[in-house]
Amino acid sequence: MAPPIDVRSVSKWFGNVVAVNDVSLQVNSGITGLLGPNGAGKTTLLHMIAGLTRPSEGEVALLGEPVKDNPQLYHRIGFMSEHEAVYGFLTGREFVELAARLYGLEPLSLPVDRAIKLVGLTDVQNRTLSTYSRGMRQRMRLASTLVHDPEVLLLDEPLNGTDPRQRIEFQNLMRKLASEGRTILISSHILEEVELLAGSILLIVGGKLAASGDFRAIRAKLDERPYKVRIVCSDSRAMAAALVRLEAVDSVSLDAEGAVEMITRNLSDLQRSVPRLAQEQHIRLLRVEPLDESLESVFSYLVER
Amino acid sequence: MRARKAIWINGVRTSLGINRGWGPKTPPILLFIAVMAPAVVISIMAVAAGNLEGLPSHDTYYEIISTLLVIFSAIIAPELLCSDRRDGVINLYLVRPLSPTDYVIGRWLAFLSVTLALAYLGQIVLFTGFVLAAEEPANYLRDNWLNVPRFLLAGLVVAIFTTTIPLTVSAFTTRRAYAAAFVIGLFIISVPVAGILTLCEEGRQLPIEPCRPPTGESAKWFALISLPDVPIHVNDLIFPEENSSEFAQLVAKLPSIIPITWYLLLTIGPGFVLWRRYSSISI
Repeated sequence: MAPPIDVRSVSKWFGNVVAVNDVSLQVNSGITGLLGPNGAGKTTLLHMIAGLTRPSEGEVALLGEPVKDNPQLYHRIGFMSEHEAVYGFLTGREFVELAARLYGLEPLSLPVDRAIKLVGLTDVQNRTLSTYSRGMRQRMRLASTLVHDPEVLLLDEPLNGTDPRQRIEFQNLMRKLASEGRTILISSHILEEVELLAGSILLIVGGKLAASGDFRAIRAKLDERPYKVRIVCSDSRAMAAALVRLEAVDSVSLDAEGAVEMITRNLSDLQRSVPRLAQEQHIRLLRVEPLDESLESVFSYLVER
Repeated sequence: MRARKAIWINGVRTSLGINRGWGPKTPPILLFIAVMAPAVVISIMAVAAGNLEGLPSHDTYYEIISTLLVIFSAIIAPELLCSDRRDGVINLYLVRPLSPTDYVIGRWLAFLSVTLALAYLGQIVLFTGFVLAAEEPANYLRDNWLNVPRFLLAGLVVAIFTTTIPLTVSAFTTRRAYAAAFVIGLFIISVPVAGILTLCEEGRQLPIEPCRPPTGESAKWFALISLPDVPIHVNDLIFPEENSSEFAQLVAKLPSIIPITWYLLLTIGPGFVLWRRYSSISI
């Protein structure tokens, strides 16, 4: 049986710029995170999967059917774009009703009520979308994506603009939908966001598929990654000498400003050891900061591996 | 079918500014007033005078309102296409069980319906006024019933033309103002250009001096350049009354197939371009 999402050797280039480079992947039911830094090609890939953009090379099949030029397939899939594409003058309910009409649903009230209830916006459904907060608009857009009860959900940065409470509600909703056997592909550039939600991930860097599979296995690789930490303290030389003796520390040096720079593979051990060492050596800690915590550096590490 | 109907309804609502603020509502309201005013005034004059002598008729009415419809179309058409692409709302349609062709035809039909309704409404008022003004309304109806299919057909000719070109222009920009300015500019400029090439030189009023346009015998062809007159030339073939405007007089010298072909070229051509532009759309 064909996987719900099947991407075969897909590439996309815009002039001389290669946005997606020979990506092949399969997504099965459950929640999968499409991760990557900004500009990695996630949205282009998602657009190709959704049939909005034609691949320069390769093929995409959803639910065993080619997605491009196959509008009837949209009866079975739901796509939510990253950008806030709404008619601000419509009420939330009218917006979901418009989506329901575009899916050819009849009667409207039942699926529209259900979708709005799913995203928890029943109370405000008759307010115009222009009066909604960004998070509320995102949720109403999600309702319009869910109104026809799709088998496959493609969501591009769905948590943009949502507050922590809404994120928890969204995660619960996604888990509920996934438990009903749906295939959900969620793109995000925030690692922690996907970690809480997705069992497996697809990691896109520079238009290429850098890693894929179980999130915990990839996370384990991340935990092995060396971290660079900078310490500003009252006596850098004494601190460096003390740190060298720690098993968790790979290397220690002093930078141009006299601060200690070290590389460690065991961040949690270091977090416990540094205050203890400072106390023992009577050193005053002024600042402890990671030097390469950005998501890009995490992705780069995985790509290099 | 329901999905296509939804696009059509949404397009009609957008064109008329329904459920929106005064900004989007104002152009259609102003146009309604501008289109209805001549029909109402002519009807009142006919009823007051008790006869139709010297009053503009159904064909002249389209000459009066075709320019208004062009201005309206230039302002409203971009609202239907430009905003959807600029704000990304077009995704709403493209990820539904509809093809881009369904979308663009739905938008075109919606706008055509609005333009057609406005054109017909004035003609209905006019026809009613003429019936009421006639000494014997029943006789007027019997003698002039053919005017009804004529103005229905002529209205369609005007509406298709004024719908297709502005929508095609709107398909090439996401900025409404650019599209509107381009369409209005195109139509406005075409009139003096045609005039310079076809109007008679000084002295033409003298009976002994015949009309000598700068382009000579070719003037009848250059008269086709005036874009607002293109559907009117076709309408001149639908209505039996002679059109006394200079462009119409020149075009009348051409075989009937020429203004019809020119009209078809200027509607089917942009219509095809519009369809092609959307049939291969990618986000």
